[in-house]
Amino acid sequence: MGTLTQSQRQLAWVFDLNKCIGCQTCSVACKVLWPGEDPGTETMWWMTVNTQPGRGMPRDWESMGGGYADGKLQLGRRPSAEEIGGGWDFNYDEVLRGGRGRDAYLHVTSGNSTWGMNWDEDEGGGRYPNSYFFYLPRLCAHCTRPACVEACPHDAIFKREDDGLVLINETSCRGDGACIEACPYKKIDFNALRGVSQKCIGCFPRIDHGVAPACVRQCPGRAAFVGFLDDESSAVHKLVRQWNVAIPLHPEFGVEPNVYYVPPLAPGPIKPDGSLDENGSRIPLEYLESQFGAAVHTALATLKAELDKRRRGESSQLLDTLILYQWKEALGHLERDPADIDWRSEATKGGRS
Amino acid sequence: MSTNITRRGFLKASGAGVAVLALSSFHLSHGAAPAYAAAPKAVEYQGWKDVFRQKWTWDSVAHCSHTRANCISACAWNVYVKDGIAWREEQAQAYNEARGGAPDFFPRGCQKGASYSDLMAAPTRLRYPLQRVGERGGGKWKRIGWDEALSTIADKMIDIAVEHGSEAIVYDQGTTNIDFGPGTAAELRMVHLMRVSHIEDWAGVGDMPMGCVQTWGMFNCEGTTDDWFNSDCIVVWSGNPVYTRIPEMHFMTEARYKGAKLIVIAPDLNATSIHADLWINPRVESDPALGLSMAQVMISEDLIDHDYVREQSDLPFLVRKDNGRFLRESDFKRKGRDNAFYLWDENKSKVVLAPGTEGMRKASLALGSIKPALEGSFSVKLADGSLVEVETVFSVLRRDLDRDYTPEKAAEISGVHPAVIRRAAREIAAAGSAMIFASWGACKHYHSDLMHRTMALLMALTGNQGKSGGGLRMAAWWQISGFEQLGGVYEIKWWQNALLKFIGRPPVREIEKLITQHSDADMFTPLMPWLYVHAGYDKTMGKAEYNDGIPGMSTGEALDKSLERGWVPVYPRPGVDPKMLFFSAPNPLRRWPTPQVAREHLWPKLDLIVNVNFRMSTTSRWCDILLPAAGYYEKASIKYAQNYLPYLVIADKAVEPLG
Repeated sequence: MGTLTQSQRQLAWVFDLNKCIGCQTCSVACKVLWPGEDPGTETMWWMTVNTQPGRGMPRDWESMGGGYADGKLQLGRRPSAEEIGGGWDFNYDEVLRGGRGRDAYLHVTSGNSTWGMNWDEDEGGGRYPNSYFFYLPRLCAHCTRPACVEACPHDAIFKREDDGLVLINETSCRGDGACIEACPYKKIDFNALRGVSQKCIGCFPRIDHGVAPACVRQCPGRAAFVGFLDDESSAVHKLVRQWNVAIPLHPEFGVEPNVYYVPPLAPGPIKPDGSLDENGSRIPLEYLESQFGAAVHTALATLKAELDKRRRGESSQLLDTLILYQWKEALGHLERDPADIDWRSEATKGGRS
Repeated sequence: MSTNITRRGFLKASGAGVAVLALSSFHLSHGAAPAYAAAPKAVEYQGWKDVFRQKWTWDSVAHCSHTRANCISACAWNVYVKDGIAWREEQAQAYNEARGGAPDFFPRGCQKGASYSDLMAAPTRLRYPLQRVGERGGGKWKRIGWDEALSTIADKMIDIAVEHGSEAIVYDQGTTNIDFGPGTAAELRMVHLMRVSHIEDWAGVGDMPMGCVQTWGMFNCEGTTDDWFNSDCIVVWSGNPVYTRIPEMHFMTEARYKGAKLIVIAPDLNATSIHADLWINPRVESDPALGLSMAQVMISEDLIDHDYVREQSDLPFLVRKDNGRFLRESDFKRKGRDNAFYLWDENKSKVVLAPGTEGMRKASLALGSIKPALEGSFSVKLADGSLVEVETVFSVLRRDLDRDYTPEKAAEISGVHPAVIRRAAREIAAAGSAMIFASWGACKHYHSDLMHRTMALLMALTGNQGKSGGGLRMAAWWQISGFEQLGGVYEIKWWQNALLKFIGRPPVREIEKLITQHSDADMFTPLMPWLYVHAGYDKTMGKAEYNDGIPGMSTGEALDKSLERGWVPVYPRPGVDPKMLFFSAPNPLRRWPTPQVAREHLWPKLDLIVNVNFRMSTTSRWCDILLPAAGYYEKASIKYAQNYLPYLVIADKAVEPLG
């Protein structure tokens, strides 16, 4: 079993679900930068955005198990290739250049065509007109108590000492996949070609050069924040520690994740006669509680109270932080522009391990 | 008009076209572009970490954008180049500071931009000129050289021009491959000089906000998008900006955090509705009734901005009760103007000419000492001595709304509860500034002019049109200065310029005349009538059952009538068949309605179909010769977003074109 060395500081992510527009720019930015479409990584999406309620990716991941229960490591199950889906290729040559343009049609020639990274987009739950949904961006939560670390029989997963990123040492990894079973968020992939587990690396090469992770820095909805939890000047600290409006997903998994969410508001429900139900909640509160735990109630109450203040013409530090007048404030200490890096004068290898 | 010319004459003309085409290779260098040549580096693999570290290195960074994409967002990107390949892209930190208290513009760009490096090298990419082998659409091609491709096309064009007239050659740029930068200007100039038929792209995609044109005589009614943040009430109506305005949407979610109400009017609970404070779900296409009932609430509860309405709208204009027309100067004087209208001045208790209308010399709406009556009936004596009763437009409007569009009546039409209609009307009226975001999607409905006019009415009643953070936001289109001259599109003569300077503003009818002259000279032809005449669409549009009968005739009958009377120009003129289609990257067999009809009826008439495109699209598959275009990162250009953004992007060439 792997050993956990705690970190001195912890980097954390915050996603504001009231600003997330589900555009998948973060997912694509990550895909193009890291896993790409190399052999073995075709179906990998280290960053994903799914519509909740929904089955997500891997399909029905929320019920696959993992994490901790009563302080004990739980090994859940590994998602199948079919539950991950994607990795599609098409018969382009046949249709476009192969002389069968009139009788051949594009179809999937490889990969799984019954599921994919964003298969149930915008479906959501409830019944029209009181249907509801919200977008949920997910990446490895770089947990404070990562189940994957403990589960690894080869001690191949570790937490970086100075920022708490959870990384898989691909040299030590033997591809047992215990980490995949242990991760309750099912955010670890398996590279069958190389026989190693792979997952979000927290953009460590960028972080080592003072540049924010791609999912945060490339978010056009300006819904993503990154920074040290103990850095009082960071937006992440203000939202998580000071205002308690950013809360973890499925805290009951017991892994103390470091990805936090500002929970979603929604327009009020409509009564059967068409009038507005002023006191109702379109997204059932029990559903929100099943996602974010009991803390969702205070987070939403704080958010609504601050919105009311703002509409009365008063100021709100919380909402100013979420508005993000200066985009750089979302990036914490990682505000360097990568285009400024000149690799002739900058060591390719980061100074830190 | 079509030009019948000799082979020799054509060669001369097309030679000029080629010379101008070369303009598209203008290199607009970006001052900050790092241009060092990279020495080949040995990749050091010292363990798994270095594999990742090496992945995030590059030789150079180019300043790029997606310059000839049909996108109104003009985002600045940095393209990271490694070993001569555009390896990835990331939004550039290229904008100025925020303005007027709004949040800044960073980081602009979406998932499509973030994956273009991948798409540029996709299996559908065209790399060299291709000539069809075998039947059209059969998917069999032969690679040919550029010289052979261009000679084949030029020879065929000359043959067609000599035999059938140049109008039998039809050019369609669609909206896919235009950026209104130098590349587009060069292309338009070439088409202009070749004097071929030219399918008008704006009508072709149904982007024309007819209700705005009818109300204001113009369509431009959008400001820069950071101004959305200044709104106190944003009504998203028949648009879905979460999908369509990805880099700008944050100004709406952030305005909400600043205290603005976000109202979304859409039949579906879409990706924007979920962010609303109030979601209103009318039945499909019942929007005008919903809007008119909000106007009814505003008027009956006196929530309107009286000063604004008196000065800025035609609601106090007087209308004759006997014939329903505006009271005009020509009613009083034999040679009076028919475009000078009247108000009832409460100060003087008599009719006075309304300032600022087309017939008035002075281009100002300022009322001075006039206090126009908003309501009332009055008797006036006409030139022939007869008395007529007149009333204000506002009186007519109030009567009509009270009769047909109370919230209770509108609820029957729209399915929206009267209490919801009242609440929305009150919230819009109470806001310091309220805006309606409708966008281009609002132009693509049957009778959408009625939707636009309702929206314009609500914004006028509440005094919001023209205000920061307020007004109807639907469409905008400005070109950069000099584009017209470069493209040879509008030719404004020196004397016209001098005249404009002298009179201060061009009369609307003069502008209309200029545009009509230009579109006639360039053989512009609107898409749908063109398809009706040449592509077999008379088989579909002529069907009575496809028509709601409101204009009193089918679309086909209406088109026949307009063609007969010369209201709608179609080139080639009816009777002359199109012989060649020349596409500059649009995808008409995907965009045109019922493309199978075009394939059945239009395609057999064509001797040659050419597509300049960077990919094998649906249309490319049904062409004869394909010319590969450079990808967005393979050419220098300018990208700008009309007036949605306060800047333009000057894009460098990052890499050489593939192939």
